[in-house]
Amino acid sequence: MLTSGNSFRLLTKAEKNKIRLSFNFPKETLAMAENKFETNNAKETENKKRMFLKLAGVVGLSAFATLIVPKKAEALVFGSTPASNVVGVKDSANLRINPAEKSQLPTALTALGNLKVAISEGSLSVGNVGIKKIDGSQINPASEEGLAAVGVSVNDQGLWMLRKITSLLKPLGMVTGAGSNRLSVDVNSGAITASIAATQTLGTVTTVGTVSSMTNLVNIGNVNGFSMVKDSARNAYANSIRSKISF
Amino acid sequence: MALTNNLKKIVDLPIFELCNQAPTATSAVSGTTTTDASDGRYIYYLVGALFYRYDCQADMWQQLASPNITPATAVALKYTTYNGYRGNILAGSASGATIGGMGGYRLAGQRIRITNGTGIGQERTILSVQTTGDTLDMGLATTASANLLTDTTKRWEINQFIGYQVRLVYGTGASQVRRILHNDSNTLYFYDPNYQQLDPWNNTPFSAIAPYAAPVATAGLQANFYIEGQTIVVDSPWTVQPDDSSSFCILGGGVWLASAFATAPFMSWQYYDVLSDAWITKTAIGGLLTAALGTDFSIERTGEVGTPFVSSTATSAGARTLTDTVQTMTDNFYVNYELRITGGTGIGQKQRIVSNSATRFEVAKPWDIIPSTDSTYVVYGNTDIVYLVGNGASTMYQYHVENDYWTISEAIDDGQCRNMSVAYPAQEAFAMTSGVRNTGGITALNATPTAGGTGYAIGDLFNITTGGTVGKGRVEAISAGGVVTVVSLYSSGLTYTTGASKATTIISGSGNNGLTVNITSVGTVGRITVASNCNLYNADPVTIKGCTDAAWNTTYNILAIDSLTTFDIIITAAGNAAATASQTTSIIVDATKTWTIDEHVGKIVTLSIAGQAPTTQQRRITANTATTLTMATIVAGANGTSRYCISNPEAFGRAEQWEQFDKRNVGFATGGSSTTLVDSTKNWYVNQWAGYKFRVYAGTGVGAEVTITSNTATTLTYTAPGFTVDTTTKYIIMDSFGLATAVTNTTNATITDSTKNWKVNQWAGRRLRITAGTGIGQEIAITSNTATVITCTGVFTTAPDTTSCYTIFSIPARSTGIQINWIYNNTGYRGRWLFSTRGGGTNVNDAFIINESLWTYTALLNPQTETVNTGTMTAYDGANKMYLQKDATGRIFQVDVNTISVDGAFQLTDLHGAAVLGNRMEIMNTTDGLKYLYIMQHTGTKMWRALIF
Repeated sequence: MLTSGNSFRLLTKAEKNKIRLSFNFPKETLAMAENKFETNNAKETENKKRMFLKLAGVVGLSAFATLIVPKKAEALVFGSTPASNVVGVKDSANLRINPAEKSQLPTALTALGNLKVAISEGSLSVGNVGIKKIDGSQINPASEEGLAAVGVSVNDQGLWMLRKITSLLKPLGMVTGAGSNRLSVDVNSGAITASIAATQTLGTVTTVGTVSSMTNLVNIGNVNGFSMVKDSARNAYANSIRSKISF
Repeated sequence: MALTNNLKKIVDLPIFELCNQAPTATSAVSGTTTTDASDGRYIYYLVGALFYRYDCQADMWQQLASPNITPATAVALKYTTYNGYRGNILAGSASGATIGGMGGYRLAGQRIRITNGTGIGQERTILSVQTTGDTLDMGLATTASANLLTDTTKRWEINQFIGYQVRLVYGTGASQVRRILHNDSNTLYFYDPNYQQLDPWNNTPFSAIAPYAAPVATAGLQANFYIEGQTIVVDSPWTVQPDDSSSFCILGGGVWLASAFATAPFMSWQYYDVLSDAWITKTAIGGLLTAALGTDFSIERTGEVGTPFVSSTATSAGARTLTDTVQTMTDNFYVNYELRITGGTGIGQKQRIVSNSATRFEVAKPWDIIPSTDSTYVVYGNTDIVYLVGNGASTMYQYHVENDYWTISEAIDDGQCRNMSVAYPAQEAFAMTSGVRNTGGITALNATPTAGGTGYAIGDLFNITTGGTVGKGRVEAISAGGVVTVVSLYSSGLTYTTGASKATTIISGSGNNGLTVNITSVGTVGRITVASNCNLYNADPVTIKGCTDAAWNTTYNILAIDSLTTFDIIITAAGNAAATASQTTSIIVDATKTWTIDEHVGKIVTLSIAGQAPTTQQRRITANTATTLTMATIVAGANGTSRYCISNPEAFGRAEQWEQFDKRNVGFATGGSSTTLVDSTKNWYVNQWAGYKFRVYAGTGVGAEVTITSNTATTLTYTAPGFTVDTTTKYIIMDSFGLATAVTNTTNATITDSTKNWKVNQWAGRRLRITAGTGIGQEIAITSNTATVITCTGVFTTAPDTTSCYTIFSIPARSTGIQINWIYNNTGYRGRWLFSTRGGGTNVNDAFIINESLWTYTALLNPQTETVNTGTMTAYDGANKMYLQKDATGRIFQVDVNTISVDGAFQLTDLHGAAVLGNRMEIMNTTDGLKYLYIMQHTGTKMWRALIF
């Protein structure tokens, strides 16, 4: 926000070029600004202020729109095609403003100029400036103030989730005697029945009671279960049978 | 060091060891088998299309070739130790031979047996095998399939490579080796359906089952092949040096595999050769089955396992007999066993015994060479037989290994339909289609041409165009520029004259037609056409039979051969050859036979089309000459392609009307006359057999079928049949089998046999099979019977008629859980029994008596409460114990095969999966005398073993 006329800072040519590069102003706009800088000193400060107001208005609106409008919509709002790097300002009739023709601010704010900045009933309003949706229709702030109402492309899923979580937690909410809100969580004192899908891994189990049957013990401690049983049987054979046979 | 076994009964308990797991879980379509004597290294395991063997030494599984036909429903397997890799000797030497022998050292250390031709019966050990073999030729297939390879750049002689092997070295199908069945000028043949009867062991196409593949001729994938032979050296010089008429078997073992097939022929029958890791598709049961083999079934082989049952030297012999006066044998004890001449006159011959007295054997067919007093002989189990039981029926089938066919009763003879025949020595004859007499045929072509022309190549064929027709020659040698220097006669032609400078025109190749030849002699030539591709070679000796003009029926040397079906011989006959008899709708002709008139009356003839999946017709033989069989109407056999076999009229496992020993229907005559047969061992009821017929199995009167008019306690009386019985006459009275004299087929079919006098309802509950004639192959339950009429349960699908023969069976239908084992080495009646669980939840173990072809169906186990069903498995230990695992319980019993007592053996503490069909339990004997029982898990991959002590 500009606090005073002294806040204005003179721009060098190089700095002006930076602005152009940063915001991609139309050449006409920049030429206008350069010309005005070359006028007499008496008018210089005033002209700079006017110029700054023009620029600030345009820059401010552009920046705001960039933040809230999707990329494609951005181009449409500013009167250029999505592929173009040229940015302009349109009037209420959706016609592009020619800065060469409409660069002068009226001397008195009560007199409307080509900029169509109207001061009415003591308030400053930009009556014909608005933000459009993707479909080209203008956003109605009265009914479409929420982001969700603007369109799917800007619908915030996080916001929806937050509402959902809030809704789910609502039954747990309670009001204490002191009138403060808090959540109440019940303690499950019953037995928990575990069900493990075939492909799941069970981590550490402290105690296992009775295992009714185990159809296929593939590995125990990375040792093949079949091999363990096989080796056990062979040991039994070696000890009980083979040791009693000699050749 | 001798085995010391300190294991103590009760003190020590049996322990099962876990073997390493099978790669594929057991299923209903799985089974195992091992060597006849359970003394090998491997247990062979088939599951579905996969085939493995478990190495008992290494405790590991190895995959083998998959069967040609994927098994279905169930399988039955049996290893056969006394079979193996077969082929023909290509050339003999004093201590070796050239064979198509696979190459490498695979055959070294194996036993080789000469099975046919010169040197038959000799057996040696192969010391060494030429590693890579001699490569006679190599080529690139321009046409290829599992059955043949063609290379159109070749100009081979007809059949110059028979018996050699082809190795596919590159391209699709590479790594396979097969023997050549026959070849023409540019094609090698490996399989011919007609050779299933002519040479079934050399008739093996390339495998198309992964990882193998049938060869192709597709560019870039075409088969690159070598034609090879290997030289082997044996451990001692041959007594009689084999030659190219000789066939051999290298006793590397094999596996028989029976399984179901959804459509005709309703079963698959395959043989796995261990040495070559190759499956051979054998002839299926065919028309003897009316639906897919099912329920459950089991097979068993008999053979020469163990020591011979009898071993001695003949003291005399006759056309069908061998006498050894030192013997004191029990009458008929060795019937259906195999009598082999192991040395001296007639060495190598083996025949099924049809009767024996104390000192005399009689065999099924006349000897080719009658043994003499120098002939040593042995009696073994019959290696030519594999039994099949089950299929939810009472019928037992028998496969005949050497000639590749099935019967349901004892086989007598077999052959091919041959109006006229031409045969190479010691080989099956080819049927002749015609023999045309040509005069002026070229009988000698001077090897040196008159003019050599230019541009010729070895193997070029040319027509001889001067002075006659269709004479042909072949270029045998050339000099620079393709100038022909040597020619040979390729086809005799006719109406030629002798002389030089006979013009020629080239048939194939780029010769300039400047070749002229010198015909040395001309004469009367017989142009022979055979009915199927032959494997005869130029100059081979051949014998012709079956012609009306005796001048044709002699032995010749082939003068020239120009195709697989045509060749020339020099003859003296005055006209074309004409067959003495030809195939008709009531006559089968085989010109190679010398049957006794009417010796086959009453027997069953089975006529099959060629190939491994035959359709068949069965008829009762009503008359026969030396070369013909007469029967009721059939679709006529095809000369040179149809096959036949002759078998007894009573099916295996027939019922007996009287089972008391002295009332029975079989025996030897102890005396008699032209109208009586006396058997003094009998005590028949008077006229017990009046109206029945008896048949003479062996001895004087063999083959006769005679109607009995009356009988006393010991004497049958009949109208003179034309012979007088003597003590060699072995007879059987047709009590439970015969020819239907009337049939009905509504609601409950009836079969009438007016020659019978049965006890009312004595056959109720039994089963009956139509064994020949209309309705062949159907088996049906009997509801009731009168003296002459059997009433069946329901009707036949195809109504029998008065051409239909029948047999009533003694045993009920077999069911799930059936197994069968030959008890070949027990202390008691050694080698006499086939033990078989009945299955289906019954508690019965039946025993088939081999020498009588009867079932003992009341052979009660003791105790006998345990029942058997799906999953039951058995294993015989090669001595006096059979092991029986009930269902899928893991409880294994020990059956004493002499006392039929049952005791515990083992109990698995580990569990089977779901019970499935098939036998997967074996006993393996170690060289030290230990016995291990191996058993596979039902529906699982585990295998356990336990020491039997």
